[in-house]
Amino acid sequence: MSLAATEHGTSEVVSGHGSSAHGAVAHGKKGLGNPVLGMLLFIVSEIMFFGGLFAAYFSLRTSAGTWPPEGNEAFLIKEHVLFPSILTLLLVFSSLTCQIAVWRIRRGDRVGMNRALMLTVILGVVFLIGQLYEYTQLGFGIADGTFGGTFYILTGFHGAHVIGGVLMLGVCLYRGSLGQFSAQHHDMVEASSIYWHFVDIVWVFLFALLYFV
Amino acid sequence: MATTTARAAGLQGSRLYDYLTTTDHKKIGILYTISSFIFLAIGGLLALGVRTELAQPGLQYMDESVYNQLFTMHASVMIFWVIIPFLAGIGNYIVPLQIGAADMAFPRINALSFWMIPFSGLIAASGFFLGGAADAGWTAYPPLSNITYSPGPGMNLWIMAVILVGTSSILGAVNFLVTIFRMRAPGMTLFRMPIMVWTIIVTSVLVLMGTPVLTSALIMLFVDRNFGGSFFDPTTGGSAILWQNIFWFYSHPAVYIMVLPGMGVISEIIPVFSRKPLFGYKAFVFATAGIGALGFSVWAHHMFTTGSVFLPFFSVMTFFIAVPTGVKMFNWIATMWRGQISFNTPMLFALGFLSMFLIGGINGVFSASVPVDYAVHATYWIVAHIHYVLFGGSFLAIMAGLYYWFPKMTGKMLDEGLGKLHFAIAMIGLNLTFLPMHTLGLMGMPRRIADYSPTAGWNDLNLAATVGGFLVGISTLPLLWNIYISLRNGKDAGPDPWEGNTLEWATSSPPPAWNFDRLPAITSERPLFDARHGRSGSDHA
Amino acid sequence: MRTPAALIALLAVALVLGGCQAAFPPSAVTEEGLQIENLYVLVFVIAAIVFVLVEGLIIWSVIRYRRKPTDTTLPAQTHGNLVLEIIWTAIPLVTVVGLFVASSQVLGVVDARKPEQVSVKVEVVGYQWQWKFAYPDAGIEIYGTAQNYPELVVPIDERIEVTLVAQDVNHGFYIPEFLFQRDLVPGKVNHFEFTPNKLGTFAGQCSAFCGLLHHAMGFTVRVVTREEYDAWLIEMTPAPAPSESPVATETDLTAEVKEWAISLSGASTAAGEVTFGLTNAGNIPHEFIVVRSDVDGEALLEQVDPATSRLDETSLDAIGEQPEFSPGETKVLTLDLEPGRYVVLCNIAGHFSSGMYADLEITAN
Repeated sequence: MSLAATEHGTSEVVSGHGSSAHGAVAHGKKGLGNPVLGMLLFIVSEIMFFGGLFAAYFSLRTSAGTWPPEGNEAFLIKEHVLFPSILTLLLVFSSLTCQIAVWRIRRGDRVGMNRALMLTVILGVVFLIGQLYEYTQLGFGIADGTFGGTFYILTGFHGAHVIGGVLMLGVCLYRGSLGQFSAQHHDMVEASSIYWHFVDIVWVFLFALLYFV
Repeated sequence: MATTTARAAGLQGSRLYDYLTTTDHKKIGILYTISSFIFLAIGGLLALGVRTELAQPGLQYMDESVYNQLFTMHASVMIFWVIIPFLAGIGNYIVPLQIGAADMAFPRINALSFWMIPFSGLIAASGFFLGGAADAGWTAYPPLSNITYSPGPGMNLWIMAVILVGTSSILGAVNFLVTIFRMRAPGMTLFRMPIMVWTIIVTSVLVLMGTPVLTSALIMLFVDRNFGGSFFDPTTGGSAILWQNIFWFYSHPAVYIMVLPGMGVISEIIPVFSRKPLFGYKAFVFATAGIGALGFSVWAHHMFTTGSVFLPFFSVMTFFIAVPTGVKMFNWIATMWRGQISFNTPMLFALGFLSMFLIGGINGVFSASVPVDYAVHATYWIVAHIHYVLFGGSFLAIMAGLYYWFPKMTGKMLDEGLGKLHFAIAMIGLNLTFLPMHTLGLMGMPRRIADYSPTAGWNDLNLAATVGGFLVGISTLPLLWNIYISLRNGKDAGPDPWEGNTLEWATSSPPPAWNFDRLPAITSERPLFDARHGRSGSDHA
Repeated sequence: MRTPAALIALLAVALVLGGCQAAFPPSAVTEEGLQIENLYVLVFVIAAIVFVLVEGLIIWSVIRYRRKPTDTTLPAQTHGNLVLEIIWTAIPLVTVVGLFVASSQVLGVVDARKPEQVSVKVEVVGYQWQWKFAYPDAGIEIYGTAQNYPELVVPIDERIEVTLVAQDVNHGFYIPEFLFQRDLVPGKVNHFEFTPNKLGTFAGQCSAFCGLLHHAMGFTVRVVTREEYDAWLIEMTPAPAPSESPVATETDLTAEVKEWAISLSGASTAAGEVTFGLTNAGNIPHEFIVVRSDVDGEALLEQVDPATSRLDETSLDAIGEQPEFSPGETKVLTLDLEPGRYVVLCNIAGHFSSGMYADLEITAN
């Protein structure tokens, strides 16, 4: 390789990254791996996505005047918060189990991580089933004016993100069961857990907004 | 296993298989370029269809329904499947090289990002064969874009395609940001990065924060169209203005997404061909960041005539954003000032960019003034503005980048004579097409009309614009021929044919798969210049 | 030596003057438009100065600083100049702030609402793809068609208030010689006021893309003297409406057409000469076509061409039709009908699919 640099005898630096052409992960000095940084940035985009939906919600709610709009008793979801509150608690608890999984693998406890992940996945699936059940009990649909539309699009896309999170954690569980993670190498678990916490936090906001405010 | 079967089929060693399965940023960059050229041809033919119909008053070649599809798809294809991917492709190829990295941070996601582009483009284009492509304008304002007034499948396909291509962009933005922040070579501090890299950072932030908002709007429109939603339907409690606000919140930053990397390319080329450093490197960085930030605050200037906008805020912010853009102009001129300028094709296109983007920037300032906008909004004045900035700006910058980095990507030099011919025809065509549109707009010709009155006085200028349009189309022929003959028979480029300043010229042309065997010491934003002239130390203002 | 120079100078002046008109909007015909026109000139002058200056610098540097064979060493590697950079940031900043202030002043005039000074109120309704102009105080309604653009008549030098209502999709009320437009947004009512200050007829057109016939959605504004306006008002005010039954001739069936239905007084009648008494009870023009059809109206919906939102009339067996007639109008249509099944419908784009049809059976005598 002829390089202009060599002509004048200036110092050269051997490229330490020369061999990692196939996706080898760089580990940062502060322990924040590339996949985790990537996930954090991706979550910024997800926040903006929900931001667009929230903007629609606030705008339509403001211009509607009375909210929920009158004429449909099913819109009075504020009076039926018990079931969704339980679902919320389950989801929050699943964030805890998810974080426990992360703490365990950081210590090298593979078995413990798998157990905590399994519990998280189960809680996530229970949340989804519960959400679907709630949908059947609500008495209004996405085509029921702006109230129905905003309710279902916000909770629906949140649910889609829960599905995504469950799948991600499921893959972590699968790879974990094959012993592919260790205390030094478990970026996917870290990234997936950050995503899961994000999904959880969005739900807490959403739940408070839709059922209480 | 797949590889065994492929080997057995004689495929695995083939170039095609290599490109189909690659995760190498350089090959992916080339794939982006090829895809963008193909969609450029499609978008260009759509434009020629529009111009052919408008050359004379009367509907000679098509009915309104076809015309409305043509201009809708022309804009959509050019924005989402040509300009944005072209720049993403150049960024893909060049950024890891410029920062001394071996690849992007997430090579497989990089490949996924690319393949979503032709895939989604096919979905959008399929509308033409399935009962009618989208035809409500690329801005798709409801209620027109809602199911009642656009019942065909084209709109649904368009929505899905744009969601996909947006997702591709977002993944690309994540990739660029992690790569740039985590994989720079030792010694390359942030303020020693090439300006190209800075523009990709700011562009990626715009993509990351703006595109998802468009996605949310598209999904709401999809729900309105197909599931009885009420988001944008005023008859059931929704708001037509809500769409406009959410749509433009992305689509205004989108224009900076389309121009900032182009400005980065120009900022690489002008210093090299003037033999001087970029004047005001730091100011340039801040101006870029300023444009990015301000870009999120001006969206409603597309809605001045709706009567639903807080006019003073959006007007003043739109006026403000002209300032960092103007600063850049002066920085580029000052770079050339007292330099030693060579007029190779990349520099010609860069100079073309300066002049044409100047026009586009200036006529944009007219619209920042609300009362003037009342006169020119939705007329051919605006068509002139957008094409001066997007064609005269972004596209000329892309061409400049192609001519500049073609030797690096292929190891061959492009023919200078054909390059100059391309430039000359393009400049004549561009101005012949779009300069008259200022006058047409002022005279009162609205946009998006399939036909116009023969007594309005618009005939001659429309004819001139059509001739110009065909010239623009013809100008791409020398380029294509040039690429063909240069690939086969071009002069060997060597690692550094232009006496470049940045790291991509410190390796062979094309680079090996791992990019660099050795890197020079990095002590300023021009490591290769320093190495060549025995200088060291960061000495920019 | 003098003559060629004089000729060249003359040519240059002619080019500039000719080019001048190309770079400016038409002369404004309203007070508000005049303000906008002057503002445009201000922006244009500044823009021209900036363009000549910057383009001049580009061209100069390209000529003066091109690389020569004698350039063997590098030029001075200037990285920046803080003072210069501050100056060329400050000057544009001050300039745009100045332009903003000037624009705000003009905007204050253009968007001003002075209801106490308004002398004429007009309501503009836009729909795919024409306009209705209403003068509520005078009870006048004017409907446009693609062949016959509607005309908005207003008195000169008086303040006119325009209310804009969108009936279906976004439209734009744009008059180039007013240097002005305002959108019609569904779900929202917009208003603006203007004071015409020149007599004449001025063309207008829809500026917000609204679908298929967007290009044909034109109108005119005619500015007249107060006396002419008063005379026009009298001429346009409709005579007192006739009694309930609008037709003197004997009709077999009456049909009421409106958005979005056709109501026939009966579902069948005897074959032979059939007379329809038609009333447009809607708000926009409709037509009435009698089509021989083996399938009923609902089944015929499937044949609507999604691209045009109409039935392809060449494939229909149309016996006869009443072309577009305006709201409030009554018409009589007499056709010779043989026994069989028929559908009566309105085939203006979108109308049939919205429900404007009815089934009719013609029975044998």
